[in-house]
Amino acid sequence: MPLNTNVDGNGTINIDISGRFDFNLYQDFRDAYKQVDNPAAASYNINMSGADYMDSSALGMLLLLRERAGGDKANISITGCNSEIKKIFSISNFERLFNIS
Amino acid sequence: MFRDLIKKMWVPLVVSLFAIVLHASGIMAGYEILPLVVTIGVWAGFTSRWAQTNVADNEEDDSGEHVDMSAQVHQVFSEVKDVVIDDGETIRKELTRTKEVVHDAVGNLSNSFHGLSSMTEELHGSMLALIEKVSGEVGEDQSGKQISIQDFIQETSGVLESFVNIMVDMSKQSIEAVERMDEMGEQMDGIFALLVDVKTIADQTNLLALNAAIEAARAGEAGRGFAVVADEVRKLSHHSTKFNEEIRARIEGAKSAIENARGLIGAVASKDLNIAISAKGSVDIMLEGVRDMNENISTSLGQVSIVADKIHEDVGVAVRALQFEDIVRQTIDYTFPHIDRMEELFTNCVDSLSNTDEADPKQLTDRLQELRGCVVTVRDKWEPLFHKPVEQASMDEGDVELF
Repeated sequence: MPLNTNVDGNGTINIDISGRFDFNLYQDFRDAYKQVDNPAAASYNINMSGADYMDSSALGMLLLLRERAGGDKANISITGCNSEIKKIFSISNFERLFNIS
Repeated sequence: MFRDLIKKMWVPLVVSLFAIVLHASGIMAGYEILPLVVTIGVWAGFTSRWAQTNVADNEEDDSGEHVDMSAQVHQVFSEVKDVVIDDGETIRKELTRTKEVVHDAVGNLSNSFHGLSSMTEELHGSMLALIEKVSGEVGEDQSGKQISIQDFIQETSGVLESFVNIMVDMSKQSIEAVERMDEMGEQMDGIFALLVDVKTIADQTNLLALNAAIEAARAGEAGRGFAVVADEVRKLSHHSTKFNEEIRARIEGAKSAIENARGLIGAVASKDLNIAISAKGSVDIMLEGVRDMNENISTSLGQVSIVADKIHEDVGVAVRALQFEDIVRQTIDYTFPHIDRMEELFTNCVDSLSNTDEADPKQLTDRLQELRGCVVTVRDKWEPLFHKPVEQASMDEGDVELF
């Protein structure tokens, strides 16, 4: 399964992504944050350590998640990025919008 | 015995005296080598010649050979005088020629150095202009503002960034549209559920109509009218079922159309970002290159200006060193009166001694007295003509720009 979701005791939604992060994951990604009643109240951790590719639709999904999660107040961490994915985040200035490591 | 020695050695003694007087009168001060050589030559010549005749004198009777010896001495004096006059003339000529050669050479050198200096400055200016062109301005934009390579690359970087932003925005909006479409799909699924209910109603209606028709048949003639109604209701339920099917088919068509659109919009949202990454990488490399180039250029500019300054300085030193022509000219001019004086003094001495009978001690004394007077006269006469022209000892002294 390229996308796994679980919610831990702190109410943080952990989304693990592996392989290609592209439009094919849209439905699963959407379901992951739709499962809570109030997406803006939750915090999110997106673990990219298994991901090796990302296209612009992934950026669109992340931006949409940020909007649903409260915009500037959203608490979203993206972890385990490889260097290519980091470059994409850097070029698209996502470092200003998300906690990326 | 002593008188005899004096009598025999008087000529070398006088020549010695003459040489000493020449030294003392300062003739050698400006031009040392040649008079010294002449003096030594004269002294050596006389001494050796006199030694020979002296040996002969000792063997022969001196009274008989005396007149001949005197004539020989006078002859030698006369020859020496000729040599001195001749040498003086040669020295003058050579010195004049030296003066001219040095003057011409220094003139050419001076022109060359000034040319070199101005060319160096021109070169420096050209290099500065070139460097400015390479590192900075590459042209003008429409408003006449200068644009540089660096500006251009930064502009490119900005364009790339907004391109990426537009792409990401587009993706986000596409995903949002897909979300709306999915919501539409959910609404349609709701309609399908309702259609199932409608179909159930139709089916039940059909069943009821069927029951009614059976009941009407059992009633016989009395139920005939009711049978017609039941049949109409059955027809209505069939219509309803048909409608239901049509609606379902239409909505399924819409759903599959939406599914198609969703796929298209998904494709629009999914754009490979590797192009942007490599473009961004290229721009970064270019910016780095321009930075390196600017650094190299400013280093080179520093080196060029150091070299140019050094050349300017060296040319200044060279031009200053060309003062030597002035010093050489004045030194040579200063030498001429010394040669004149030497000639006059020598001529006087030789002429005077030529007319002396060396056998007569009184005449000899008178002549020496005369000569001493002559030396003083000649020295005093020439002294005002001598003036030290240049006190400067080396070219590095002073900072005079000549010519």
